[in-house]
Amino acid sequence: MRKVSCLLLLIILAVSCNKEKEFDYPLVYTGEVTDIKNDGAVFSAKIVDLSKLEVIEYGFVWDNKTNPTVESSEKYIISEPPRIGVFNQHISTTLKAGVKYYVRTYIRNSKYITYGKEVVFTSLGSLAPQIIDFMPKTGNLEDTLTIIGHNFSYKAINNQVQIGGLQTSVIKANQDTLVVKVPEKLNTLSSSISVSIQGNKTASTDVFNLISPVLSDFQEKIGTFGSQITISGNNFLANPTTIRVYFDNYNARIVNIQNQSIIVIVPDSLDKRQSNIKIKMNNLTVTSIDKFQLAPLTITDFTPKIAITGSTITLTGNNFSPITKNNIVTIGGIKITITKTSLNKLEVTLPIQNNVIYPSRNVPISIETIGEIQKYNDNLLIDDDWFRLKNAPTSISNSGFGYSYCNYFTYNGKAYIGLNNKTLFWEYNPISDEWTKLADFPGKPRYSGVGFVIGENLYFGTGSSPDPYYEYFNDWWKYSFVDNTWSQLSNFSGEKRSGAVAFQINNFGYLGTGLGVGVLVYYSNFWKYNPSVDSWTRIADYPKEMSNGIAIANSTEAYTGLGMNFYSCIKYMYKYNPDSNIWQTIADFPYGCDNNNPKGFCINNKVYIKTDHTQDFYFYDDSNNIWNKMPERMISGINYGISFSLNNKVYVGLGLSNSMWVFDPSR
Amino acid sequence: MRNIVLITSIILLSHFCQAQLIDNKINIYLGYNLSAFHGKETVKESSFISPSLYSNYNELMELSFKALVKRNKFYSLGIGFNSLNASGWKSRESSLYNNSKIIQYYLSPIVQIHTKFTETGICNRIKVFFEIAPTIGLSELKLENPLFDVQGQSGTVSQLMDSRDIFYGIKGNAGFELSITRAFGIYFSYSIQQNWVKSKLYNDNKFLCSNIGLGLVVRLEKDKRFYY
Repeated sequence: MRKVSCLLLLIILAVSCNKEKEFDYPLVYTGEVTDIKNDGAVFSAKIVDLSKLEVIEYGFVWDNKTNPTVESSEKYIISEPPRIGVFNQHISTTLKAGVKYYVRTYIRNSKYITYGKEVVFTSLGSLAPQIIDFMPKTGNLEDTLTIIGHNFSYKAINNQVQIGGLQTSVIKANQDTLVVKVPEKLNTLSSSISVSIQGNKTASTDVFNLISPVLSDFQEKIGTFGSQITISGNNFLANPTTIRVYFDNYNARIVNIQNQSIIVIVPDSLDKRQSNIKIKMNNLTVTSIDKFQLAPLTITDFTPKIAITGSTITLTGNNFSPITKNNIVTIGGIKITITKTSLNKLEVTLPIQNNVIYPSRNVPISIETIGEIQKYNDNLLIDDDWFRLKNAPTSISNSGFGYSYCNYFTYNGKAYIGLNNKTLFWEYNPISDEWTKLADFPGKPRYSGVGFVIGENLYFGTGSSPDPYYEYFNDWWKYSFVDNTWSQLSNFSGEKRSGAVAFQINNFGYLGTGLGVGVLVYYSNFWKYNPSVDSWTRIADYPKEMSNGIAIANSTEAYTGLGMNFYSCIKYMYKYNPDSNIWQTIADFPYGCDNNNPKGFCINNKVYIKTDHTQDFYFYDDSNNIWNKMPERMISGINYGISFSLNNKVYVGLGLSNSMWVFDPSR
Repeated sequence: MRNIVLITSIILLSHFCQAQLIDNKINIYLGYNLSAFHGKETVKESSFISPSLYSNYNELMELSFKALVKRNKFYSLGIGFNSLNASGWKSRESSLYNNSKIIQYYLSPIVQIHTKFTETGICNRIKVFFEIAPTIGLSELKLENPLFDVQGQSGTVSQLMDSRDIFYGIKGNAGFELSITRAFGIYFSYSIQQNWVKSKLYNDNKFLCSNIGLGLVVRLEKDKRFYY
């Protein structure tokens, strides 16, 4: 028996003397979730080994997907020191009713983290977190705010924090502290803070206050663009990076900020004479009671005083706006493009006359800067050779041919224009630059009729009408400048024709050449008209058959040529002396072709002619029998147009447009 | 039917048979036990509830060896050695110990109280006994699935998958022996065993086991008697 007992004792000793195994990692079991109610649930666990290494952290993790981890799942850290045995925690937030959660306990040392096996449960809901306090109570946009409370979520994204109703970003989160940023769009002075987890929301009792700027006064009350203004107030250094100063709605550059003063520059873009000064900081805006006033605009000078269009005019003065669009320069009432702008100088380009019509050569200059208008005392003189007049009435136009093929006559310092296949007849007054409609031509509208002025009457006739078929005329009419009436006279004694030439010398009219009825019928016969007896007498034929030529007469002779006939490049010219009834050949015109469309005028007894193939007018030097180019550069675009002289000035225009131009050789 | 006839015949034979068995001093018992762990499916420790290890095993089998020395007419002392295998772990609420196995070995010094051997009558053939024995043993758990998810700085760490734990207990056994011959007999017994254990791999701190045993008795060292 003794032997049996000894044997038993030895066996017991052998079996029990067994060194307990030590682990590097702790061991912990997850218990079932209990007490599941709508205010949360109880998580339990049991630590069976703490390992050799010191435990850093232990608690529970849970998520709505399997294998929750400390890095990515909800978490609760137990604050009591770990010990072997059971621990539990009532979790009262972050659980959503009806959601299946996977829970694990965990315990971590410096080398390992041990998770217990997960358990599953379906939540019945949980409570809102609690806010105990937050700090600071006053601050700026994007300041960091610490909220202290209970039952926040470890997952920052699950904490929906709002300040003043605006969502804010959570920088750090654990179960009793949230670190958030004041939202940059917050714009209310006082705001409450709320935290919501899984739809359960709680709000703070205290409010968070944004620091607001204070604006007391500013100097100077009157200034100009770019001048310095000093604003006095308070709190400017609370959040200087967010400070903005506005004149009305225009941002002013800040030169210096102190806590109680700000120095700013009046913005160049300011576009109101009077404006409130506003300071915005932390999205809070304060406005000055007084208004800032822009200094008055002055114009001191401009150069040059005489300029041609297309050139630059420089205006000097004070308090122009540095922003081009805030200055309006008008010259002769025309708004001018500003090419350079500064506080004391504006440069403008005088528009060319092709684009604008100046009221006169002497034009006033005015500048308007932000509603204030100043006029300069002196006028600008436009020195172009040719000056554009008002446009002719648009009704002069003939559909299909623009303003082309007009008849034109001068009488008593005025011009008489029209009859280009229309009955319209106009008087142009160069003094007033006005057009007056006269009595309609009673005859059939026609092209290429001709006439001349004798005494107080215009004699007109011949021509052709394409409507409804080509019809040639030899009717003859008289227009009284005095009565503004038309009357028909005896027909022209020659053949019906179109495109004849006509002129007047010594109160007798002369008409000849032209295109007749039939195919390529050109006339060379010429006739003399006596207005007193309304009769025609044949005179010496024109040396060539011709149509659509030109005849310009001075006081003693007429210069004709540049028409069309069978041949091309007609350049020949003849001079007619009514006393000798002889057509004398003179120097060819420098240019000639089919469709010369010649036009001309007589001024100071000199004859000037231009065709559509020459840029310039040429005048005839009788002494040297030569055509010389008129030195003053001609304007372009008057092909098919008219030209005449009145009061020693030359007028051209119509043709491709209804523009009219004048040239004064005496300037 | 045949079995009933057989058992009845044995009993009658033993009662009426005047063949005498000589009492022996040392008995060796070799048996096979059908075992079962009893208890709740879960272990509860204040609010902590986890699945029980032992009471969720469904397939248990035990082999036992016992040697007893008769000290006097009514009691014997001896020692027993048992080996138990448990498998088929299953719980409705958890799969924590699925596919795990337990092998237990334990020793138990036995005090047996039995009926007195008589030279005639039924007590010459049948002995009814009661035993009580403290137990000490080793419970060896082998896991199929890790119980924890351990992560180290270099990733997942190899887990603890087995455990050898000492258990202590006390066992009560009751049964009867039937002598067939002078050397052999059979026995039938029922025992209940309460053990206490502590392990890191499970939260059970005790387990209750019951066995129904059936085995062979080998009778040694008989009392010397005159034969007449």
